[in-house]
Amino acid sequence: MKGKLIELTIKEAHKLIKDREISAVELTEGFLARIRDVDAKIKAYLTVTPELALAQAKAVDDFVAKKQEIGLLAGIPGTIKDVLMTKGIQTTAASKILENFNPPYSATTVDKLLDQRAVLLGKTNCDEFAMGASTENSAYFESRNPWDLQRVPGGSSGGSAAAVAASEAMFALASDTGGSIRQPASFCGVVGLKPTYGRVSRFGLIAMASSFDTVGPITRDVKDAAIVLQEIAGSDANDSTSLKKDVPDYLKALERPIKSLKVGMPKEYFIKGIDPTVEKVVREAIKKIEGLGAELVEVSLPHTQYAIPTYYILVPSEVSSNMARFDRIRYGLGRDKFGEEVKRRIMLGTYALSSGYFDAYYSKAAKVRTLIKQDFEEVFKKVDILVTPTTPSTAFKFGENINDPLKMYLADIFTCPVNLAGVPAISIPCGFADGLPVGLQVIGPHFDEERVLNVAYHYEQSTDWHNQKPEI
Amino acid sequence: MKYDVIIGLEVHVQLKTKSKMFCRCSASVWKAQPNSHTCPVCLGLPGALPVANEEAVREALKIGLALNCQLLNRAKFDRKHYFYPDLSKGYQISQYDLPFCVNGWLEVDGSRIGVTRSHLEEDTGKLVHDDKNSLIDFNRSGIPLMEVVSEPDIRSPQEARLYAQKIQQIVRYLGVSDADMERGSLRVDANVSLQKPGKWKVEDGKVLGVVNNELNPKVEIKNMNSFRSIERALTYEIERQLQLFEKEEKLSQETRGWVEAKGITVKQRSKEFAPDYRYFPEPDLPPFVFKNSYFEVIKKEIPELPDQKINRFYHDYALEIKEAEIVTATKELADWFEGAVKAYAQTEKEGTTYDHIDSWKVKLIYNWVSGELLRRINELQVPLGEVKVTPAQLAELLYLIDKGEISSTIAKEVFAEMFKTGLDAKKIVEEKGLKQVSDEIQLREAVREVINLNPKPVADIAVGKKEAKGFLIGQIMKMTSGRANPGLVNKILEEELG
Repeated sequence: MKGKLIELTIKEAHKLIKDREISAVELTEGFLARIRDVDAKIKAYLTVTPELALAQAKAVDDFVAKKQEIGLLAGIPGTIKDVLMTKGIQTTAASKILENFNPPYSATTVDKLLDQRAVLLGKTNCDEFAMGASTENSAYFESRNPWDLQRVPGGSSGGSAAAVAASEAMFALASDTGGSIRQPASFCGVVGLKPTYGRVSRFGLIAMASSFDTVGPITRDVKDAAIVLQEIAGSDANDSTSLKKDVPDYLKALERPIKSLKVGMPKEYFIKGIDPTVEKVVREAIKKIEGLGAELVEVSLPHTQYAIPTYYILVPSEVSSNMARFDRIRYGLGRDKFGEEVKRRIMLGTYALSSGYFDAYYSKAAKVRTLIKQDFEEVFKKVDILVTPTTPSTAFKFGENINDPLKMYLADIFTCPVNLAGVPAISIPCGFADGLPVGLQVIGPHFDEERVLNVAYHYEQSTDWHNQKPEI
Repeated sequence: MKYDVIIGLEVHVQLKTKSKMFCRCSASVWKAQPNSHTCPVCLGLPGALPVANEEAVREALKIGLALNCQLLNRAKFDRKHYFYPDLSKGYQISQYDLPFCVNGWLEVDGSRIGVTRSHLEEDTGKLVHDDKNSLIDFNRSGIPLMEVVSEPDIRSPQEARLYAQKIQQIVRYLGVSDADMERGSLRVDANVSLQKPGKWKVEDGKVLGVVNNELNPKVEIKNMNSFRSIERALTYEIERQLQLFEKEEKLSQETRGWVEAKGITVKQRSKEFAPDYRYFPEPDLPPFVFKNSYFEVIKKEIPELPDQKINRFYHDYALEIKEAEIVTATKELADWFEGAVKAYAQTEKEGTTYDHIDSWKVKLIYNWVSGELLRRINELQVPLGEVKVTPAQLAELLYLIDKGEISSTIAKEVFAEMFKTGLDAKKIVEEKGLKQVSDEIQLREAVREVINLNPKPVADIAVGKKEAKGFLIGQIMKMTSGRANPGLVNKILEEELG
């Protein structure tokens, strides 16, 4: 039974807990046992919080025993990427500079999960301050891809994606600045949703690039992603960039018919350099969507080629500013504790913002960003949704890209334009290439997570990819 | 002098909003336990985000309007980066190219001083040093701070002081700041340079050379913590620069600190090492888009300002400009003065509504306010708000003089008592038996007695020595404890002396 318990989806587990067929404690114990069994291999967790998790689970069981109403996430064990502040639980951003940092407050999204009585298993590994695409930049250790331990789980939310893929958590709360949710979800064969910028509060998310950062879920399937998004979405008085906009019913949106929906394939996302086996899998997936009744249209996002250079000017600029507070005075540890990638971005950004260079770099990039945003706005006048590969390749091996920052940056080539534009996107499993998972990216217009989830859900329900599990 | 003195000021005004600029911490931190008014936002903890305080933004716009600025429909916050231990985030949220207010002016002593811009930012924490350690108190971190940057239009240390005082007066009128230099809620930095006449001009707020763009360097002065020190520091600095020029020594562009105790400025850092602030738009705060109708609403909230009040008092009450300046020094005093004027007019007309008052009566009130009231306030160091006597009570006191119930000499005594107790003049006069004696029989008795007791002065008067009469009146007043009706005493004395 234990083996099966940890493979449940949120929706399934919720029903069992509510009907008292299983207890939340039992479920939590199952996950804690799983972490004990496999995390030495996967190394997804930076911190595990068994006592807290069991106490939270116990409270849910007491609730159910008193026949009180519980929400969908009550008693559901999840993990939090270590860039989200958790009150009283060490939060390091996988950096040595925040080693032993114990936050006095929790992120709004974390509080929302706790209010729903979700069970917190621990904090998962990532690249240092979410800068990277493999978890190789974690100052503590690398997380491994459950499908092939020789390969990276992707990044920056690699620990979170690996935990969900290896059934070490039912869901993860993570962050996406240029692909940090979608790319590892794609590499690990799970679902990763990056909401619209402004849909979910950033308060308590350790900022990497403030105008790009978003918080979203990594889950087993699309329905679970909708459930988590439902709980974390909404405006926050503590985040001026969160929009005052009603949160729709995402679960309801899943079932809407997709017949005669116009699905765009941006030609700039099917180019030379993309791994041919990945391209083949993605094209088949898109054909499947066409088979479900959608109309395929080839479209163009003409400024796509400028996305990476634009991203890598604006993001480091904001990084250099956001990292300035770690100046040894307040957190005790000095800047020598920063890893190579963090230092690289601080230097790039400081340079781009310097007087005499600001106009040529930052201002120019900000203008190009507007053009990229307009590309999306234009294309969504013609089509309802876009489909692309999430990444140009499957999970790479440790060390393969780490000494070539530019090559590592290209892992974000299909995901970072989405962050430049601020639109929502999801990565869902769409097959395998040489035994490794491939992700399909579905991109929607601003604040239309419903459409994104809707299309992803219909595709998912017509396939079996999300039910595939790695053998560890 | 062979040189034109060119001074520009940067004035920082701490706003007294309920909460801080970007968080909900209380902004009343004076003398509070260090770090007791802090939260993740003003401590700059990872993950914390700023939310702009609407009250502070409103007040910033009010200041802009009061400084005759143009308010920008599109404004935004920017990050200004520099390293200092009291700066919690490694950057200060300030405003760079789109501040709330631009292109204003202030009239100071007949000359118009341009205000380049006025923008809102957050204050920093404060370093506290003891023998062994340097400690940081973040209570001040995040308190709203309005920076007002003047054009280089100021031509003397005295004018600089007056300009700064005028800003203090205006923000106090607006009620948006305590603007107290001693407490640091008003802070002033000055830029000063000496240029050859005709060899410089001002463009976009900057001093430029006319020929080959050659200019003498400017020096920034900091650490001036009183209005007097602004004037002293600038006077010192101008003299220092002059002497350097005379000795043909090189003046370098630098920041100097004013050392109050020694009365000198000392070098703090040279401008070559000035930090590159790497400004960029604050991504955590969406830009502001204001409608003109919003500005109109704010405009209506601005009270009558000192210049308008002086003008009105000059026209409506026929006060001299100097007199009007004195009674409009603070809004509270001006209101007190005007309250007394209106009450006096009403008392005179016994309850009818105020429409006109004789100018001599206004002058009378002016004399009492600038004399008795201010003298006591200054002597006892009580703020006007805590003064017990009300404007209406002063009016009533003056009415008693008019009716001949008390003399002006007695009135001063009564006022002193009113100031102390807050009681009505009438009551004090009754209780202390200060009512003027106008009973002819009673007074004639007193006059006769004085005449009998003072044969010598009486004889002097007889031979034409008029000054002796004053002595006799004095004696009569003394006998009646100053309560005798002076007109009546005079009349009876004339009669008795024949």
